[in-house]
Amino acid sequence: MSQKTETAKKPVSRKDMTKWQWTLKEMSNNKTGYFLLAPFYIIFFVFTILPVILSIFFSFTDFNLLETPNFIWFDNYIRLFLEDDIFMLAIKNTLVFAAVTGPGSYLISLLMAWFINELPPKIRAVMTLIFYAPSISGNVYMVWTYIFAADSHGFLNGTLMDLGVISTPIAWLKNASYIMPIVIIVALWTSLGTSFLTFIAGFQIVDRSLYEAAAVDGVKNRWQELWFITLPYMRPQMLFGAVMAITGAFGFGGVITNLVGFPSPDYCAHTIMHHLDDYGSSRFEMGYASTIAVVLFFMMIGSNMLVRKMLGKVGK
Amino acid sequence: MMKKFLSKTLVFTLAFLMVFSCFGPIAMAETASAVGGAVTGENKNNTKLEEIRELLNSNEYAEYRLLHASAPNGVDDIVIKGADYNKTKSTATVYTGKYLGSTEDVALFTELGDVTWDFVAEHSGNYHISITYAPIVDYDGDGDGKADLISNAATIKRALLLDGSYPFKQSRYIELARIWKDELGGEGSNDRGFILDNDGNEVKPNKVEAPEWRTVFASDSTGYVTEPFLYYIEAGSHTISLAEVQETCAIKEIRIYYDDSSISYDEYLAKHEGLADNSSKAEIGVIEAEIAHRTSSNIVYPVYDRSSAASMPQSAYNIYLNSIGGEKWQNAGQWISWQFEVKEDGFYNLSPRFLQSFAEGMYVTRELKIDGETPFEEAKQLRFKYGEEWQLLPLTDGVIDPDTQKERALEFYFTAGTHTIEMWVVLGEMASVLTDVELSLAKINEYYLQILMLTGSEPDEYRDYQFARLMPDVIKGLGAESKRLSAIVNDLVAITGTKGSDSMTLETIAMLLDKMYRDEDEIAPNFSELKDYIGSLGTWIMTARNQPLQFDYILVTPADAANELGFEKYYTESGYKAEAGFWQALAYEFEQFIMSWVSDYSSYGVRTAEGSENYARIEVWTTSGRDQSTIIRSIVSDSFTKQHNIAVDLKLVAAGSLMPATLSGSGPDINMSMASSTIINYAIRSAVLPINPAGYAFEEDDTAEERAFKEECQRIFSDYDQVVSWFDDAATVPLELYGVAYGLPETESFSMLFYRSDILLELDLEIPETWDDVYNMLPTLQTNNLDFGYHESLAGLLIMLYQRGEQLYSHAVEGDTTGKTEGMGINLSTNAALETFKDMCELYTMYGFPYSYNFVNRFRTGEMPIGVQAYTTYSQLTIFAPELRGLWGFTVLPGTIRTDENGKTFVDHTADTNVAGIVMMNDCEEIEAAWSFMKWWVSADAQSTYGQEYYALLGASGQYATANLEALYAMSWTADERAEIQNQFEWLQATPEMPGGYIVSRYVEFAFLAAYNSDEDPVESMLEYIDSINAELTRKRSEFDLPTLENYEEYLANNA
Repeated sequence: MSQKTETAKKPVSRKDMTKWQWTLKEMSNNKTGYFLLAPFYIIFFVFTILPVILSIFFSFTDFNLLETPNFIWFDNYIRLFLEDDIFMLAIKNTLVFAAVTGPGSYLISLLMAWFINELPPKIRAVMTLIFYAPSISGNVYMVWTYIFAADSHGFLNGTLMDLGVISTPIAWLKNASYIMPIVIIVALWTSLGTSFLTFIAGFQIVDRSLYEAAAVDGVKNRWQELWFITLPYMRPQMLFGAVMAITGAFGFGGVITNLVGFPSPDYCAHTIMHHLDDYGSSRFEMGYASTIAVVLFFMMIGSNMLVRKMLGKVGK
Repeated sequence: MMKKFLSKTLVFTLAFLMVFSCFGPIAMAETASAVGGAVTGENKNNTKLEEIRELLNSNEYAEYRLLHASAPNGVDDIVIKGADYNKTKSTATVYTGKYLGSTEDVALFTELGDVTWDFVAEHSGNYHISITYAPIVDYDGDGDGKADLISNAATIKRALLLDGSYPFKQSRYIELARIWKDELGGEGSNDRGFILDNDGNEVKPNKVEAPEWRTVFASDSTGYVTEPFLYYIEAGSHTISLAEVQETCAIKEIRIYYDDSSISYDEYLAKHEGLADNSSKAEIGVIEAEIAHRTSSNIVYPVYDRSSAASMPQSAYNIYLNSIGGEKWQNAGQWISWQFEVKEDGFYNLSPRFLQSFAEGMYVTRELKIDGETPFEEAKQLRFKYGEEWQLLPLTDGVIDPDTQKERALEFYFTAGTHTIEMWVVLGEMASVLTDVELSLAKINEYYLQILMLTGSEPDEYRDYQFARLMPDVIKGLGAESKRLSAIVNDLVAITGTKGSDSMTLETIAMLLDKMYRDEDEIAPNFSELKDYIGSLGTWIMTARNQPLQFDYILVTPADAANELGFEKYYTESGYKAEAGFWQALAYEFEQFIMSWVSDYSSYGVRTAEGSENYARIEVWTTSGRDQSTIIRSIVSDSFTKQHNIAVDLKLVAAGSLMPATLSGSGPDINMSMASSTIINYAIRSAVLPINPAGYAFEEDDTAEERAFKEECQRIFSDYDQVVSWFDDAATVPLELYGVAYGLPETESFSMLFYRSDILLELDLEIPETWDDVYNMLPTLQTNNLDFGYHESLAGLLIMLYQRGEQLYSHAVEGDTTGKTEGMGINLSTNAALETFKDMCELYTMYGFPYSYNFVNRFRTGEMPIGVQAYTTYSQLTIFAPELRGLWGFTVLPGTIRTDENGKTFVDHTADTNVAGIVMMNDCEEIEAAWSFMKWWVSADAQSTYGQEYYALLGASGQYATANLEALYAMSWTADERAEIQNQFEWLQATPEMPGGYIVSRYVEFAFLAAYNSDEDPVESMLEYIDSINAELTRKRSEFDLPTLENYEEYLANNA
């Protein structure tokens, strides 16, 4: 108390205060900023940060959604990593899936955006709409269930039987050998989403004069133009696109469930998201599900950091 | 040379087969009917097939008419008294006596069996048959004070046979409408007779039966034949029979005569010309349509229209039941009658204010009867043209008046006094169109099936099937149907005056058929398209035969008064308008908008006495649809709240909101329609309360308070055993866990065997009674490219497992008094179970059952003429496949032959059953009130009311699968259908819900898919998963401190 009154008299300097006091002081100086930030921050805290903290807390309990949880320390983690074979399978599936669709969709978005950017403006607008359409129209990926229907009247089965390639219908979405390729195709098809739009926007904000300058400096072809000028210039958009692609790849579980049902035959397309869902809703084991969520959370953070590092290398 | 000989032989053989297959059924029919008597005793199903065979061989009415067109009109007038039935030939239980004020004895008879009368005709000729009947609500035949004949509130259906056979197909479906009235007046009602709720809204009145004697002609129940049937009767003695289909019935008189009383409008006018006409002195009369005198159906009741400010009465503040009809008054044969007073003799116009915004571009048709008689021919085709808004127009037959160039307004002569008018739904000119389309559809279906039997469902378009040589008739037939459909399109355009989307459907099908007819190479590539079109043609029929119309009021105006001013002006001057003016409408809309902030729509219908704060109040959640919850709410306020003085707060919530609500302690007292697995999941985590005394057993460490609570609960739930006697034994199994019950069953579903009688007959197959029969019929089915539909994975396995007397879970071990060791392991590792699993898999791997299919579509096209499906598929088939009427049926599942402990063999037809139930949540404080709500809701009364309302809302597709047996049997089934369902109820077994049960269906499916997709050995793939299943069961059980496979010995020792 007395210290506070003393400091009020003296000219303020960083050295006079503890870190905490300094922060408070800075905050009060910038209170308008905090005030403007508050609405978003409160919502963000309640709906994003708090759940993360809560699930970290619940991951140490045996919470079953309906009764008071008991604290069981690291039991969940031990079980997850040492006893749960299906979790290991889910990690494998998730990584395979993410490794193919994450970069895949990222590259497709980027290349598509680049190609489309080369088109005349009017055609470009139309093409953008066409490519973007699958991701805005919600559950439109459900058309794939008709294409791959197990019924002998399903599109693919019917066509193949017409052509005489197969004689009995194949249960495409119930057959462990076909499911992974099919969901990856569908994931890539739906992936031209927000990141694709951002890339298109990114391509348009590149200062045209830079290209002229680069040409003078000796850039020889379009690839060099892309690598040395365009991409470094639109690094923020690329980062955004990458984050979207990663979260998309990790959180694709819902689409898989809608396509092949839950759980997928023999867990062949069982991702971490599915595992989480399985324990969280059908088995009522929220504590364990939280553990899975925490692991998934750190996996996402890890891959995010990896991507940032990789993006730093663009144009170098 | 040799090659030529071979091909000749082949052609000859094929030709022989073709000829044989064409005449086969007829030849078989003859032999079969010769030995028919012998078959009867053997197998009930096959006598049913015999009946269908007879029906298939009988004529359509149109053909029948052509046969007897040259016969003279009958001159006899034969009156047969109901009571004079032939006692030896009748198989129904018949009571005779006075009924409903009849002065003579009448015949009252049961639903089951036939009643036959003898009569003698003196002259051959074509005769109408009129029937004087009355519905029976309840009738005590033997005077013991108990009702022997009761009503299930369904339409009376009978088959009319002459000399023991159907003269034509339609004679099998004679419908006699029940008679209903609204219960108006009573405590708390307004001057219109409607009861008001707390907020002053009018509440839908109850429908009650008002039986009376009515005389109707035997006529077509679908309305396709607009005139009453003409039966050809030769001179001589005959019998006439009414055979069982649905409902009990009383018959006073059957009259056989030729009715030539109908006259034209001009004759009608001429007939009344000289009579007194003082109508100009009379005032304008208003009949409020919602206050009907009688209706033919309990689903035609007053409804509210909030859309138009000009509806009478209308208010933005309160709901008035201001109109009647709409989509509930659309099926041919439904009628509404009104009674009104006429002050002066004379000619009047009748002008309803009506809404026909339903059938776009078309008009709907009604027939008017005055005091039970159609005044003139033109009154059979009154037209109500399409309009987006309400219309106020005089009744017209659509004939253009040469003077005004408008559709003429028909005039009706009324004498002073009380009159009754009836408005019947008829199909009018659409009738002939629909008849044609339906015949055409039947033909196309037949051709489709013939091609299918040759090519399979996915024909190879690069193969030359030689259709023209193998089935020239089919090719010709396709051409003929194409022409027929084109002709129908022209008719349709002529009727409606426009070429709308309706005719487009028909036109595209005609074009496709024409293409197939002209070039046989087009048949294979377009075959699956043809199938889709068959489906859309069926849908077209379904929508085109609906004739929805809504009435607000009917004006009775003196004929001359309007003629001077013109109708519109006359009505406006008298204060009646089709639609409100701009300002009035604006004001109304604005008021409604304001009221939308104030009104509590969810409390509509809540009617509690004053001082309702003293009542117990319970909160009930339902996740059913909006319409369903409205029905439940109205039944609750009409019946439950009134009876028990308990206020019910019924909330429609999104699925999935129960979990978070329970977690946060803001959940309901009662939750409805919960799947049995969810109930047990909640129960083992103590989120729902036990509802039987066993759930409140005393324990040693109970505190005094706990003990008092348990005693109280034991008292409240002491009638649990009595309540569950309303259900099948199997229904409560999945809702109980180790003797403690957690829910009362609401709905119960199970599979039955559906079959297409016509196709089975054509292939000379019988309805399979056992699985051996199924295996035996498969070669015939498959050589004809037809499939058998069955459930795969766990659903299919359970049926076969239970039929062999096996269980899914292991039993409680010996020496366990608590029973809690039941379900510790899965019972799939025994030889018998593995064998069963293998058999199920082989149906798909060896016998080629389709894994994925749309049953209703394939059943309809005949591709899958037989299959095991949920019994509720019945309603779907009834509504979506009208063209199949009478050609399909359902029966108990094919069974497994077993030997009981006494060495007697029997056929086990067991089906497995699924249940959804109603539960009381743990937070419930008003336990007694909540329990009485639960009991009331699953009681026969509430369930059958709900079932009927649900049916009324959704039509035949809304068959509610109630678990209450009494309510289920009281629904609208034919006697046959009810008997089949009752039969299956004898053979039901439910799978108990066990902790960790979710893992079973999962791994069984994995094992099945491995066998199906990769041809792995089913037994080995199943064995692979059994350890995983048991491990998960053990893990889950130890979570709840239940004995597991690993520690049960210890558990037994502790509990010894």
